[in-house]
This record gives sequence, structure tokens and C-alpha cells, in this order.
Amino acid sequence: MIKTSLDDVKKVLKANLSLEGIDIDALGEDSSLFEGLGLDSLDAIELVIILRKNYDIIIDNMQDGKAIFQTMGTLRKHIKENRKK
Amino acid sequence: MVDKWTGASTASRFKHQVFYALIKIGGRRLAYILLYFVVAFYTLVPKFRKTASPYIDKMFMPKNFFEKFRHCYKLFLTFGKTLVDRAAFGISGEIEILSSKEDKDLVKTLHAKNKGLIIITAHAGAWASAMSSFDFVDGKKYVLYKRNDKDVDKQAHEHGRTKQTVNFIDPTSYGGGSFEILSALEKKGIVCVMGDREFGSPRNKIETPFLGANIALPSSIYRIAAASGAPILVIFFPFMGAGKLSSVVADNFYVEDKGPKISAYKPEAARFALAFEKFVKQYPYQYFNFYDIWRKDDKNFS
Repeated sequence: MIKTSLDDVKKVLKANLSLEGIDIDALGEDSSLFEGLGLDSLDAIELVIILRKNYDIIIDNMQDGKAIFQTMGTLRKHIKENRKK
Repeated sequence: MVDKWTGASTASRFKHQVFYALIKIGGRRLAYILLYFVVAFYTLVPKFRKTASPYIDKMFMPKNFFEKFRHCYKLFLTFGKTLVDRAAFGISGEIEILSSKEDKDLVKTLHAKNKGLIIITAHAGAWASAMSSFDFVDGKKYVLYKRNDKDVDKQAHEHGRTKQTVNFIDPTSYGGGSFEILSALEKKGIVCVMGDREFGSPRNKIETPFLGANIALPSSIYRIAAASGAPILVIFFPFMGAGKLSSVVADNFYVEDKGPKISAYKPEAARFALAFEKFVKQYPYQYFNFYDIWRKDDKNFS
């Protein structure tokens, strides 16, 4: 199985998102993804694609997405609990 | 000049109700009779003519006021007829969608690839009725659609006669509808989007030529097509007369995965623009664009 520590998840995000001006290494479990980092709908697409390609996880709707992408911690937890790879 | 499209209805709820009542009493043709007068009124009012002015100038290059007035009247009239037809479809359930066997077979073949299907269309022709009926292809359907709070014109299914056959995805919701779109495609669903009007992130724009000058088109759907492997069908729905519309496949293609950089998908947006330009030249009174999409400032361009 693919590792899901905070650092591992950050590595995947760093490799797949264009995060200009954002120091992803400085993010902690409580760091807010959308409000805090200023991610937008295009980043949401990339996040969904990252989950599908890297962890075989599908997000069905915005309610789930909102909860999953709230913070780095919620994202990491969802990956850990739902990954199929 | 209208800065930006809002989706708000021009007429009041009461005026729409009058048309609905006429349709119930005498069918769409009775409503058309009133429509000729209503359209004449709207065409006489300068502020309404101005909303159509950018498109009419680019499309027809009118030589004088009267020529421009005539084009404006014809454009408003066709738009009005498509709205009456949508209401008539909702009230009576009657509509005829003409499609060639070749197009139907193509849609079926692409859908059978099990990657879902992305239909890109535009605010042109009888798109509103087509979106409401949407029975030209089997499978679960989704339409990316933002309804303005001030839009009082009913969708066909809201008249209560026809079933809602599509699921709506709000492009201004959290994540820009991306969760729902990707999930729908994953389940082999059919997702229909408007390719001519951008929503959501200010980065969701690609400049491409259209009728002689650049416009900003939405880009994220091409990224989604690339990531999901879903084929894109560019379909337009010309209004063919009372109660009749046609579905025409103008183009179809797959999008190569070029990564997250949105500018990489400019060729695909340009391809849509080219197909759309061909459509509007064939049906010049069927592009219902009532704001200046060519205006080059931060309203339309990033």
C-alpha cells in the first residue's frame, strides 16, 4: 500500500499541484486547504484527480469534498481510510 | 453595455405567466402571436438593443441603424420562440428532436467505451429545450447549470407535465462542480456543459478567436476530459421551427492528458470555438448572447 503519513501526502500534492508561492512543507495537519491556501475550483479538480490516480479514491459530491478537503489532516485521514492502492 | 452575463430574467414573473396561460389556452402558436408584439417592444427600447449590439456588430456588421434594428428584432424573436417552445414542451410535453442516424450511432459508440461522455454545447438555438428533454442519448444525465435567483422563467420540468430527466450540477458550488462531474463520468454518466461561458475560478479561462476577435472560454472541462479519458462531443441544437429542434454533432474528440496547466488545453478550446463559429454562421439568429464577450478587460479575461 502507498504510505499515507503527512509528509507522504504532501509529497504527492507537491508533485501534482501547481502551488506557486505556497510552502507546502510548512503545512500541518490543521492547515486549511481552500480558505487558508487559497485553492480554487481548478485546484479542486486536481485534488480529485490526485486522489483517483494515486489512491483509487472517488469523491461523489461537494458535501463529501468539503469535509475531505477541509484541512491537510482531514485529507490525510480520508486517504488512509479509503485508499485502494 | 451589459458587463457580464447574469442569468436574470428580463421580463417579470407575471409576463411569463401570461405566456404560459396562452400556451395552455391555444398552444405555442397563440403565444407566438403575442411574442411578435413583445419582441417589437423590446427591440424599440435602446437598452435592450444594446445587450445584443456586440454580437450583431461582429456577426452582421450592419451598415446603418435600420439594418441593425432588423437583425436585433430577428435575434430577439428567435430567442423568444425558443423560450415559448421550452415552456410549451413543459406544459404539453410535445417536442420533436431531429437527429441523423449517423450522429445517434456516433453518440452510442462513444458512450459504449465506458468512459462517460462530455457534451459541450452553447447558449444557442433550442439548447434550453434540449437540456430539458435530453433524450437523444441513453444514460444518466447531468447538466452543469447555474440558475440566477432573479431568473423567473421556468425550466420545462417545473411546469409539472414533464419529468426532470437531468440532474443539475451548480458550477459555482464548492469545488466548481468538479466532484460531481468527475464522479458522474466515473459512473459512465453523461455530463453536459456550456462551452461558451466561463464560471468559477478566474483561472478557468482560455483566450481564443471567435468571429474575428478573442473571447475567454471556460477551460476546466478539457482538463477533466483529459484526466477522466471521457470523449468530448460538441453538439448544437438549432431551432427548426415551432416545436422542432435538431441535435447536430459538430465535432468529437479525446483530450490528451497534458497535466494541470490550464493553458495547455488552448487547442481544445479553440477547436470548440471553431465549431461554434461555424454553427453561428449557419444559424446567425440563434446565438443568444446578450453581453459583450469580446470586451477585453478583467470582466472577461484573466
